[in-house]
Amino acid sequence: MTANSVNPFDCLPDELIEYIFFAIIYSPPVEPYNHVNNIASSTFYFSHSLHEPYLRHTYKDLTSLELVCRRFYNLLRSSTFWLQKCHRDHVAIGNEPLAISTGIDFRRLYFSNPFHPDYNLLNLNNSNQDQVNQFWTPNVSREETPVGSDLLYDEFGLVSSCYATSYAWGQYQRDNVQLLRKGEEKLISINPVIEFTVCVAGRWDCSSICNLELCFSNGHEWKYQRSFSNGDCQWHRLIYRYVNYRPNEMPSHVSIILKGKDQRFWAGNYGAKFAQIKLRLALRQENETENQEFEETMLNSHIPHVA
Amino acid sequence: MAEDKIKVATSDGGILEVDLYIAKQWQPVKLIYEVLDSTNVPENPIDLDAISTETLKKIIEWSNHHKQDEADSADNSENDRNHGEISPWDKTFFNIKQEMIFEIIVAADHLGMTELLDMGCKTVANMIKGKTPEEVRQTFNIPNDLPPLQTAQPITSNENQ
Repeated sequence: MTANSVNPFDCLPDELIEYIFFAIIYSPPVEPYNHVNNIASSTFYFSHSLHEPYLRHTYKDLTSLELVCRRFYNLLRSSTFWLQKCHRDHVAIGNEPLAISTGIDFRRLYFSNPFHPDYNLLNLNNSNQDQVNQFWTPNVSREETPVGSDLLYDEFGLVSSCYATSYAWGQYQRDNVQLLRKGEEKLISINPVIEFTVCVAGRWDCSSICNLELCFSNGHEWKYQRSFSNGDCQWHRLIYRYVNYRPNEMPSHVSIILKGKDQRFWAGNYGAKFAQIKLRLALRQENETENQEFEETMLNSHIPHVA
Repeated sequence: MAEDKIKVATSDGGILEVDLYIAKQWQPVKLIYEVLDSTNVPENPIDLDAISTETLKKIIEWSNHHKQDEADSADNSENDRNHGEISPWDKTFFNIKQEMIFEIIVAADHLGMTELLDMGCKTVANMIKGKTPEEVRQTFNIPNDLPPLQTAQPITSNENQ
Protein backbone atom coordinates (compact mmCIF):
# COMPACT_ATOMS: atom_id res chain seq x y z
CA MET A 1 0.00 0.00 0.00
CA THR A 2 1.43 3.37 -1.01
CA ALA A 3 1.17 6.46 1.12
CA ASN A 4 -1.53 7.82 -1.15
CA SER A 5 -3.83 4.84 -1.05
CA VAL A 6 -6.92 5.84 0.82
CA ASN A 7 -10.36 4.28 0.75
CA PRO A 8 -12.31 6.81 -1.38
CA PHE A 9 -15.61 5.67 0.13
CA ASP A 10 -14.48 7.17 3.43
CA CYS A 11 -15.20 10.67 2.14
CA LEU A 12 -18.73 9.78 1.04
CA PRO A 13 -21.72 10.03 3.35
CA ASP A 14 -23.97 6.95 3.52
CA GLU A 15 -26.49 8.55 1.22
CA LEU A 16 -24.02 8.84 -1.64
CA ILE A 17 -22.77 5.30 -1.21
CA GLU A 18 -26.39 4.24 -1.47
CA TYR A 19 -26.73 6.23 -4.71
CA ILE A 20 -23.82 4.24 -6.10
CA PHE A 21 -25.49 1.01 -5.01
CA PHE A 22 -28.73 2.13 -6.64
CA ALA A 23 -26.79 2.57 -9.85
CA ILE A 24 -25.88 -1.13 -9.80
CA ILE A 25 -28.72 -2.50 -11.83
CA TYR A 26 -29.39 -4.91 -14.67
CA SER A 27 -32.57 -4.21 -16.50
CA PRO A 28 -34.28 -5.41 -19.67
CA PRO A 29 -34.78 -2.73 -22.33
CA VAL A 30 -38.21 -1.14 -22.26
CA GLU A 31 -40.00 -2.30 -25.38
CA PRO A 32 -43.57 -2.30 -26.58
CA TYR A 33 -45.54 -5.30 -25.21
CA ASN A 34 -43.03 -6.24 -22.53
CA HIS A 35 -44.23 -3.90 -19.83
CA VAL A 36 -47.41 -2.43 -18.36
CA ASN A 37 -47.80 1.26 -17.60
CA ASN A 38 -49.48 2.57 -14.50
CA ILE A 39 -50.54 5.99 -15.67
CA ALA A 40 -51.76 7.07 -12.26
CA SER A 41 -48.44 6.59 -10.52
CA SER A 42 -46.25 7.15 -13.60
CA THR A 43 -44.50 3.87 -13.07
CA PHE A 44 -44.47 0.63 -14.97
CA TYR A 45 -43.60 -2.99 -14.47
CA PHE A 46 -42.10 -5.64 -16.74
CA SER A 47 -43.51 -9.08 -17.35
CA HIS A 48 -42.53 -11.21 -14.40
CA SER A 49 -40.78 -13.97 -16.30
CA LEU A 50 -38.79 -11.40 -18.26
CA HIS A 51 -37.77 -9.35 -15.25
CA GLU A 52 -36.94 -11.96 -12.65
CA PRO A 53 -33.53 -13.04 -14.02
CA TYR A 54 -32.39 -9.42 -14.22
CA LEU A 55 -33.52 -8.69 -10.68
CA ARG A 56 -31.68 -11.77 -9.45
CA HIS A 57 -28.52 -10.72 -11.24
CA THR A 58 -28.67 -7.33 -9.53
CA TYR A 59 -29.43 -9.01 -6.21
CA LYS A 60 -26.41 -11.27 -6.60
CA ASP A 61 -24.08 -8.33 -7.27
CA LEU A 62 -25.38 -6.34 -4.32
CA THR A 63 -25.40 -9.15 -1.79
CA SER A 64 -21.87 -10.02 -2.80
CA LEU A 65 -20.89 -6.45 -1.87
CA GLU A 66 -21.95 -7.13 1.71
CA LEU A 67 -18.75 -9.09 2.06
CA VAL A 68 -16.49 -6.18 1.16
CA CYS A 69 -16.47 -4.28 4.44
CA ARG A 70 -18.55 -3.55 7.51
CA ARG A 71 -19.91 -0.28 6.17
CA PHE A 72 -21.19 -1.88 2.97
CA TYR A 73 -22.67 -4.71 4.97
CA ASN A 74 -24.65 -2.36 7.20
CA LEU A 75 -25.93 -0.27 4.31
CA LEU A 76 -26.96 -3.30 2.28
CA ARG A 77 -28.76 -4.93 5.17
CA SER A 78 -30.96 -1.91 5.76
CA SER A 79 -34.63 -2.38 5.00
CA THR A 80 -35.05 1.17 3.77
CA PHE A 81 -32.30 0.66 1.21
CA TRP A 82 -34.10 -2.31 -0.30
CA LEU A 83 -37.47 -0.56 -0.13
CA GLN A 84 -36.04 2.22 -2.29
CA LYS A 85 -34.30 -0.24 -4.56
CA CYS A 86 -37.57 -2.10 -5.13
CA HIS A 87 -39.26 1.15 -5.94
CA ARG A 88 -36.55 2.38 -8.32
CA ASP A 89 -36.20 -0.91 -10.12
CA HIS A 90 -39.93 -1.33 -10.73
CA VAL A 91 -40.56 -4.23 -8.42
CA ALA A 92 -44.36 -4.08 -8.53
CA ILE A 93 -45.87 -4.70 -5.12
CA GLY A 94 -49.33 -3.16 -5.19
CA ASN A 95 -49.93 -1.53 -1.88
CA GLU A 96 -46.57 -0.09 -0.86
CA PRO A 97 -47.66 1.65 2.36
CA LEU A 98 -49.19 -1.59 3.59
CA ALA A 99 -46.05 -3.52 2.70
CA ILE A 100 -44.02 -1.09 4.73
CA SER A 101 -46.32 -1.16 7.74
CA THR A 102 -46.46 -4.95 7.87
CA GLY A 103 -42.70 -5.15 7.91
CA ILE A 104 -42.23 -7.09 4.69
CA ASP A 105 -38.62 -8.00 3.99
CA PHE A 106 -37.89 -5.89 0.90
CA ARG A 107 -34.53 -7.49 0.38
CA ARG A 108 -36.20 -10.84 -0.03
CA LEU A 109 -39.02 -9.31 -2.05
CA TYR A 110 -36.53 -7.93 -4.56
CA PHE A 111 -35.25 -11.45 -5.14
CA SER A 112 -38.66 -13.13 -5.15
CA ASN A 113 -41.88 -11.16 -5.46
CA PRO A 114 -45.04 -13.23 -5.06
CA PHE A 115 -47.22 -10.12 -5.36
CA HIS A 116 -46.18 -9.29 -8.90
CA PRO A 117 -49.41 -8.62 -10.83
CA ASP A 118 -48.20 -10.91 -13.59
CA TYR A 119 -47.20 -13.83 -11.34
CA ASN A 120 -49.67 -16.64 -11.85
CA LEU A 121 -49.75 -19.52 -9.40
CA LEU A 122 -51.47 -21.62 -12.07
CA ASN A 123 -48.60 -21.32 -14.53
CA LEU A 124 -45.64 -22.03 -12.33
CA ASN A 125 -44.63 -25.39 -13.68
CA ASN A 126 -46.49 -25.24 -16.92
CA SER A 127 -44.70 -23.20 -19.48
CA ASN A 128 -45.38 -25.01 -22.70
CA GLN A 129 -48.71 -25.26 -24.40
CA ASP A 130 -49.20 -29.01 -24.00
CA GLN A 131 -48.74 -28.71 -20.28
CA VAL A 132 -51.41 -26.03 -20.09
CA ASN A 133 -53.86 -27.95 -22.30
CA GLN A 134 -53.80 -31.00 -20.04
CA PHE A 135 -56.10 -29.31 -17.53
CA TRP A 136 -58.94 -29.07 -20.04
CA THR A 137 -61.23 -31.93 -21.05
CA PRO A 138 -60.66 -33.08 -24.66
CA ASN A 139 -63.91 -31.59 -25.98
CA VAL A 140 -62.57 -28.09 -25.41
CA SER A 141 -60.63 -26.48 -28.20
CA ARG A 142 -57.94 -23.87 -27.94
CA GLU A 143 -58.27 -20.84 -30.17
CA GLU A 144 -55.22 -18.73 -30.92
CA THR A 145 -57.54 -15.78 -31.29
CA PRO A 146 -61.21 -15.97 -30.30
CA VAL A 147 -63.56 -17.10 -33.05
CA GLY A 148 -67.04 -15.62 -33.02
CA SER A 149 -66.29 -13.36 -30.07
CA ASP A 150 -64.53 -10.03 -29.66
CA LEU A 151 -60.76 -9.94 -29.47
CA LEU A 152 -59.32 -9.92 -25.97
CA TYR A 153 -56.13 -8.10 -25.05
CA ASP A 154 -53.96 -8.74 -22.05
CA GLU A 155 -52.36 -6.04 -19.91
CA PHE A 156 -49.29 -6.01 -22.16
CA GLY A 157 -51.32 -5.22 -25.23
CA LEU A 158 -51.12 -8.67 -26.76
CA VAL A 159 -54.10 -10.60 -28.09
CA SER A 160 -55.05 -13.50 -25.79
CA SER A 161 -55.74 -17.04 -26.88
CA CYS A 162 -58.76 -18.75 -25.34
CA TYR A 163 -60.49 -22.09 -24.77
CA ALA A 164 -63.87 -22.71 -26.38
CA THR A 165 -66.30 -25.25 -24.98
CA SER A 166 -68.80 -27.38 -26.89
CA TYR A 167 -72.30 -28.84 -26.48
CA ALA A 168 -71.44 -31.05 -23.47
CA TRP A 169 -69.78 -29.59 -20.41
CA GLY A 170 -66.16 -28.75 -21.11
CA GLN A 171 -64.12 -28.45 -17.97
CA TYR A 172 -60.88 -27.02 -16.58
CA GLN A 173 -59.85 -28.60 -13.33
CA ARG A 174 -56.99 -27.87 -10.94
CA ASP A 175 -56.84 -29.79 -7.69
CA ASN A 176 -55.07 -28.49 -4.60
CA VAL A 177 -53.08 -25.67 -6.11
CA GLN A 178 -50.53 -24.63 -3.53
CA LEU A 179 -50.80 -20.97 -2.55
CA LEU A 180 -47.45 -20.51 -0.86
CA ARG A 181 -44.14 -21.78 -2.09
CA LYS A 182 -41.48 -23.13 0.18
CA GLY A 183 -39.84 -20.28 2.06
CA GLU A 184 -42.86 -18.00 1.84
CA GLU A 185 -44.43 -19.03 5.13
CA LYS A 186 -43.74 -15.61 6.59
CA LEU A 187 -46.38 -14.21 4.28
CA ILE A 188 -49.09 -15.91 6.32
CA SER A 189 -48.85 -13.22 8.97
CA ILE A 190 -49.52 -10.55 6.34
CA ASN A 191 -52.87 -12.17 5.50
CA PRO A 192 -52.63 -11.58 1.77
CA VAL A 193 -55.63 -11.50 -0.52
CA ILE A 194 -56.08 -14.59 -2.67
CA GLU A 195 -57.22 -13.31 -6.03
CA PHE A 196 -58.70 -15.39 -8.83
CA THR A 197 -59.54 -13.90 -12.22
CA VAL A 198 -60.80 -15.30 -15.49
CA CYS A 199 -62.18 -13.75 -18.65
CA VAL A 200 -65.31 -15.31 -20.16
CA ALA A 201 -67.30 -14.71 -23.31
CA GLY A 202 -70.03 -16.19 -25.45
CA ARG A 203 -70.28 -16.27 -29.25
CA TRP A 204 -72.40 -13.87 -31.21
CA ASP A 205 -74.33 -16.73 -32.81
CA CYS A 206 -75.04 -19.03 -29.91
CA SER A 207 -76.16 -18.67 -26.32
CA SER A 208 -74.05 -20.39 -23.69
CA ILE A 209 -73.37 -20.69 -19.97
CA CYS A 210 -70.42 -21.08 -17.65
CA ASN A 211 -69.95 -22.18 -14.04
CA LEU A 212 -67.01 -21.34 -11.82
CA GLU A 213 -66.18 -22.99 -8.55
CA LEU A 214 -63.36 -22.41 -6.07
CA CYS A 215 -62.89 -24.68 -3.03
CA PHE A 216 -60.33 -23.53 -0.52
CA SER A 217 -58.60 -25.94 1.82
CA ASN A 218 -60.21 -24.28 4.83
CA GLY A 219 -63.68 -25.15 3.59
CA HIS A 220 -64.53 -21.77 2.07
CA GLU A 221 -66.19 -21.95 -1.34
CA TRP A 222 -67.06 -19.52 -4.10
CA LYS A 223 -69.47 -20.34 -6.89
CA TYR A 224 -70.44 -18.26 -9.85
CA GLN A 225 -72.63 -18.80 -12.84
CA ARG A 226 -73.10 -16.68 -15.91
CA SER A 227 -75.04 -17.09 -19.09
CA PHE A 228 -74.47 -15.44 -22.43
CA SER A 229 -77.44 -14.58 -24.55
CA ASN A 230 -77.45 -14.57 -28.32
CA GLY A 231 -75.47 -11.69 -29.67
CA ASP A 232 -73.44 -11.05 -26.51
CA CYS A 233 -69.91 -11.65 -27.74
CA GLN A 234 -68.03 -9.31 -25.44
CA TRP A 235 -65.47 -10.51 -22.94
CA HIS A 236 -66.14 -10.13 -19.24
CA ARG A 237 -63.45 -10.25 -16.61
CA LEU A 238 -64.54 -11.96 -13.40
CA ILE A 239 -62.55 -11.32 -10.26
CA TYR A 240 -62.87 -12.91 -6.86
CA ARG A 241 -60.82 -11.67 -3.91
CA TYR A 242 -60.83 -13.91 -0.86
CA VAL A 243 -59.98 -11.75 2.08
CA ASN A 244 -62.14 -12.76 4.99
CA TYR A 245 -60.39 -15.78 6.42
CA ARG A 246 -59.30 -16.08 10.04
CA PRO A 247 -56.22 -13.94 10.66
CA ASN A 248 -52.98 -15.89 10.28
CA GLU A 249 -54.90 -18.88 9.01
CA MET A 250 -54.60 -18.42 5.30
CA PRO A 251 -55.69 -21.56 3.42
CA SER A 252 -52.82 -23.52 1.96
CA HIS A 253 -54.51 -24.82 -1.18
CA VAL A 254 -57.38 -24.17 -3.50
CA SER A 255 -59.13 -26.36 -6.06
CA ILE A 256 -60.63 -24.82 -9.16
CA ILE A 257 -63.28 -26.03 -11.57
CA LEU A 258 -64.42 -24.03 -14.60
CA LYS A 259 -67.15 -25.42 -16.83
CA GLY A 260 -68.82 -24.16 -19.95
CA LYS A 261 -71.07 -25.26 -22.77
CA ASP A 262 -73.44 -23.94 -25.40
CA GLN A 263 -77.20 -24.00 -25.02
CA ARG A 264 -78.14 -25.16 -28.52
CA PHE A 265 -76.48 -28.52 -28.58
CA TRP A 266 -74.52 -27.68 -31.71
CA ALA A 267 -71.59 -29.74 -32.99
CA GLY A 268 -68.39 -27.78 -32.88
CA ASN A 269 -67.20 -25.38 -30.20
CA TYR A 270 -69.93 -22.79 -29.83
CA GLY A 271 -70.00 -22.77 -26.06
CA ALA A 272 -68.64 -20.31 -23.52
CA LYS A 273 -65.00 -19.31 -23.88
CA PHE A 274 -62.41 -18.87 -21.14
CA ALA A 275 -59.17 -16.88 -21.19
CA GLN A 276 -56.53 -15.36 -18.89
CA ILE A 277 -57.10 -17.73 -15.99
CA LYS A 278 -55.06 -16.38 -13.16
CA LEU A 279 -54.54 -17.11 -9.47
CA ARG A 280 -52.30 -14.90 -7.38
CA LEU A 281 -51.63 -13.38 -3.98
CA ALA A 282 -51.99 -9.65 -3.48
CA LEU A 283 -51.66 -7.12 -0.72
CA ARG A 284 -54.94 -5.84 0.66
CA GLN A 285 -56.21 -2.52 -0.52
CA GLU A 286 -56.98 0.12 2.05
CA ASN A 287 -59.92 -0.92 4.26
CA GLU A 288 -60.40 -4.17 2.39
CA THR A 289 -61.96 -6.60 4.85
CA GLU A 290 -64.75 -8.35 2.95
CA ASN A 291 -64.57 -10.89 0.16
CA GLN A 292 -65.37 -9.27 -3.13
CA GLU A 293 -66.60 -10.35 -6.50
CA PHE A 294 -66.33 -8.08 -9.54
CA GLU A 295 -67.35 -8.28 -13.13
CA GLU A 296 -65.88 -5.94 -15.72
CA THR A 297 -67.07 -5.89 -19.28
CA MET A 298 -64.19 -5.43 -21.69
CA LEU A 299 -65.17 -3.24 -24.58
CA ASN A 300 -63.58 -4.24 -27.86
CA SER A 301 -62.07 -0.83 -28.28
CA HIS A 302 -60.25 -1.20 -24.99
CA ILE A 303 -56.76 -1.76 -26.23
CA PRO A 304 -54.22 -0.93 -23.55
CA HIS A 305 -52.00 2.01 -24.37
CA VAL A 306 -48.58 0.56 -25.03
CA ALA A 307 -45.66 2.95 -24.99
CA MET B 1 -26.71 38.31 -20.47
CA ALA B 2 -24.70 35.28 -21.55
CA GLU B 3 -21.37 36.95 -21.07
CA ASP B 4 -21.87 37.72 -17.39
CA LYS B 5 -19.39 36.04 -15.15
CA ILE B 6 -19.03 35.78 -11.43
CA LYS B 7 -16.19 34.81 -9.15
CA VAL B 8 -16.19 31.81 -6.89
CA ALA B 9 -13.69 30.84 -4.19
CA THR B 10 -12.60 27.24 -3.71
CA SER B 11 -11.49 25.32 -0.64
CA ASP B 12 -7.80 25.55 -1.49
CA GLY B 13 -7.73 29.29 -1.93
CA GLY B 14 -8.32 29.46 -5.68
CA ILE B 15 -10.57 32.01 -7.33
CA LEU B 16 -12.31 31.09 -10.59
CA GLU B 17 -14.43 33.05 -12.98
CA VAL B 18 -17.53 31.23 -14.11
CA ASP B 19 -20.31 32.00 -16.58
CA LEU B 20 -23.24 33.23 -14.58
CA TYR B 21 -25.53 30.91 -16.52
CA ILE B 22 -23.61 27.89 -15.24
CA ALA B 23 -23.07 29.14 -11.71
CA LYS B 24 -26.73 29.85 -11.23
CA GLN B 25 -27.48 26.13 -11.57
CA TRP B 26 -25.55 25.51 -8.38
CA GLN B 27 -27.48 25.36 -5.13
CA PRO B 28 -25.26 27.64 -3.04
CA VAL B 29 -25.25 30.27 -5.80
CA LYS B 30 -29.00 29.96 -6.33
CA LEU B 31 -29.58 30.60 -2.65
CA ILE B 32 -27.50 33.74 -2.70
CA TYR B 33 -29.26 35.10 -5.76
CA GLU B 34 -32.63 34.47 -4.17
CA VAL B 35 -31.66 36.85 -1.43
CA LEU B 36 -30.08 39.50 -3.64
CA ASP B 37 -31.51 41.54 -6.46
CA SER B 38 -30.54 39.50 -9.52
CA THR B 39 -28.91 42.38 -11.29
CA ASN B 40 -26.37 42.81 -8.50
CA VAL B 41 -23.29 40.69 -9.00
CA PRO B 42 -21.90 40.08 -5.52
CA GLU B 43 -18.78 42.04 -4.71
CA ASN B 44 -16.85 39.21 -3.10
CA PRO B 45 -16.31 35.82 -4.69
CA ILE B 46 -18.94 33.28 -3.62
CA ASP B 47 -17.43 30.72 -1.29
CA LEU B 48 -17.73 27.10 -2.36
CA ASP B 49 -15.81 25.87 0.62
CA ALA B 50 -16.24 22.13 0.11
CA ILE B 51 -14.80 22.03 -3.39
CA SER B 52 -11.18 22.18 -4.56
CA THR B 53 -10.01 24.18 -7.56
CA GLU B 54 -9.16 21.13 -9.59
CA THR B 55 -12.57 19.57 -8.95
CA LEU B 56 -14.43 22.75 -9.75
CA LYS B 57 -12.58 23.10 -13.04
CA LYS B 58 -13.72 19.62 -14.02
CA ILE B 59 -17.27 20.50 -13.06
CA ILE B 60 -17.19 23.64 -15.15
CA GLU B 61 -15.83 21.61 -18.05
CA TRP B 62 -18.79 19.23 -17.72
CA SER B 63 -21.28 22.05 -17.43
CA ASN B 64 -19.96 23.74 -20.53
CA HIS B 65 -20.34 20.58 -22.55
CA HIS B 66 -23.81 19.79 -21.22
CA LYS B 67 -25.19 23.35 -21.43
CA GLN B 68 -28.32 22.26 -23.23
CA ASP B 69 -29.02 19.12 -21.15
CA GLU B 70 -29.64 20.85 -17.85
CA ALA B 71 -32.40 22.87 -19.49
CA ASP B 72 -34.42 19.98 -20.90
CA SER B 73 -33.71 17.21 -18.38
CA ALA B 74 -36.49 18.50 -16.14
CA ASP B 75 -39.32 17.00 -18.19
CA ASN B 76 -37.41 14.24 -19.88
CA SER B 77 -38.83 11.13 -18.32
CA GLU B 78 -37.26 8.94 -20.99
CA ASN B 79 -34.08 8.98 -18.93
CA ASP B 80 -35.89 7.08 -16.29
CA ARG B 81 -36.99 4.39 -18.71
CA ASN B 82 -33.76 3.03 -20.03
CA HIS B 83 -31.39 3.97 -17.22
CA GLY B 84 -29.51 6.42 -19.47
CA GLU B 85 -26.27 4.85 -20.54
CA ILE B 86 -23.10 6.85 -20.02
CA SER B 87 -22.37 8.78 -23.22
CA PRO B 88 -18.96 8.38 -24.85
CA TRP B 89 -18.06 11.94 -23.94
CA ASP B 90 -18.95 11.32 -20.30
CA LYS B 91 -16.94 8.09 -20.34
CA THR B 92 -13.86 10.02 -21.43
CA PHE B 93 -14.66 12.77 -18.94
CA PHE B 94 -14.58 10.25 -16.10
CA ASN B 95 -11.41 8.58 -17.29
CA ILE B 96 -9.46 10.24 -14.50
CA LYS B 97 -7.89 9.50 -11.12
CA GLN B 98 -10.23 7.46 -8.96
CA GLU B 99 -9.96 10.01 -6.20
CA MET B 100 -11.21 12.76 -8.51
CA ILE B 101 -14.30 10.76 -9.52
CA PHE B 102 -15.32 10.61 -5.87
CA GLU B 103 -14.58 14.30 -5.36
CA ILE B 104 -16.81 15.10 -8.30
CA ILE B 105 -19.57 12.97 -6.81
CA VAL B 106 -19.40 14.84 -3.50
CA ALA B 107 -19.21 18.21 -5.24
CA ALA B 108 -22.07 17.44 -7.63
CA ASP B 109 -24.22 16.50 -4.67
CA HIS B 110 -23.26 19.69 -2.84
CA LEU B 111 -24.05 21.82 -5.88
CA GLY B 112 -27.32 20.05 -6.62
CA MET B 113 -26.20 18.81 -10.03
CA THR B 114 -28.27 15.66 -10.29
CA GLU B 115 -27.27 14.68 -13.81
CA LEU B 116 -23.55 14.85 -13.04
CA LEU B 117 -24.13 13.02 -9.75
CA ASP B 118 -25.92 10.25 -11.63
CA MET B 119 -23.11 9.88 -14.13
CA GLY B 120 -20.50 9.82 -11.39
CA CYS B 121 -22.37 7.15 -9.45
CA LYS B 122 -22.88 5.07 -12.58
CA THR B 123 -19.18 5.30 -13.33
CA VAL B 124 -18.29 3.92 -9.91
CA ALA B 125 -21.07 1.33 -10.15
CA ASN B 126 -19.56 0.09 -13.42
CA MET B 127 -16.23 -0.26 -11.66
CA ILE B 128 -17.89 -2.47 -9.06
CA LYS B 129 -20.19 -4.61 -11.19
CA GLY B 130 -19.13 -8.19 -11.70
CA LYS B 131 -16.22 -8.10 -9.26
CA THR B 132 -15.73 -10.41 -6.31
CA PRO B 133 -15.56 -8.81 -2.87
CA GLU B 134 -11.78 -9.17 -2.82
CA GLU B 135 -11.49 -7.56 -6.26
CA VAL B 136 -13.64 -4.65 -5.10
CA ARG B 137 -11.42 -4.19 -2.05
CA GLN B 138 -8.34 -4.15 -4.21
CA THR B 139 -9.79 -1.72 -6.73
CA PHE B 140 -10.66 0.84 -4.08
CA ASN B 141 -8.18 0.04 -1.33
CA ILE B 142 -10.91 -0.86 1.11
CA PRO B 143 -9.62 -2.59 4.24
CA ASN B 144 -11.44 -5.72 5.25
CA ASP B 145 -12.92 -5.05 8.66
CA LEU B 146 -15.41 -7.86 8.75
CA PRO B 147 -15.00 -10.66 11.30
CA PRO B 148 -13.73 -13.91 9.75
CA LEU B 149 -17.10 -15.71 9.87
CA GLN B 150 -18.64 -13.33 7.36
CA THR B 151 -15.78 -13.47 4.94
CA ALA B 152 -15.74 -17.25 4.94
CA GLN B 153 -19.39 -17.84 4.07
CA PRO B 154 -20.39 -17.12 0.50
CA ILE B 155 -23.90 -15.79 0.25
CA THR B 156 -25.88 -17.87 -2.22
CA SER B 157 -29.21 -17.14 -3.78
CA ASN B 158 -30.83 -20.01 -1.92
CA GLU B 159 -30.59 -18.44 1.49
CA ASN B 160 -33.73 -18.38 3.51
CA GLN B 161 -33.82 -14.80 4.81
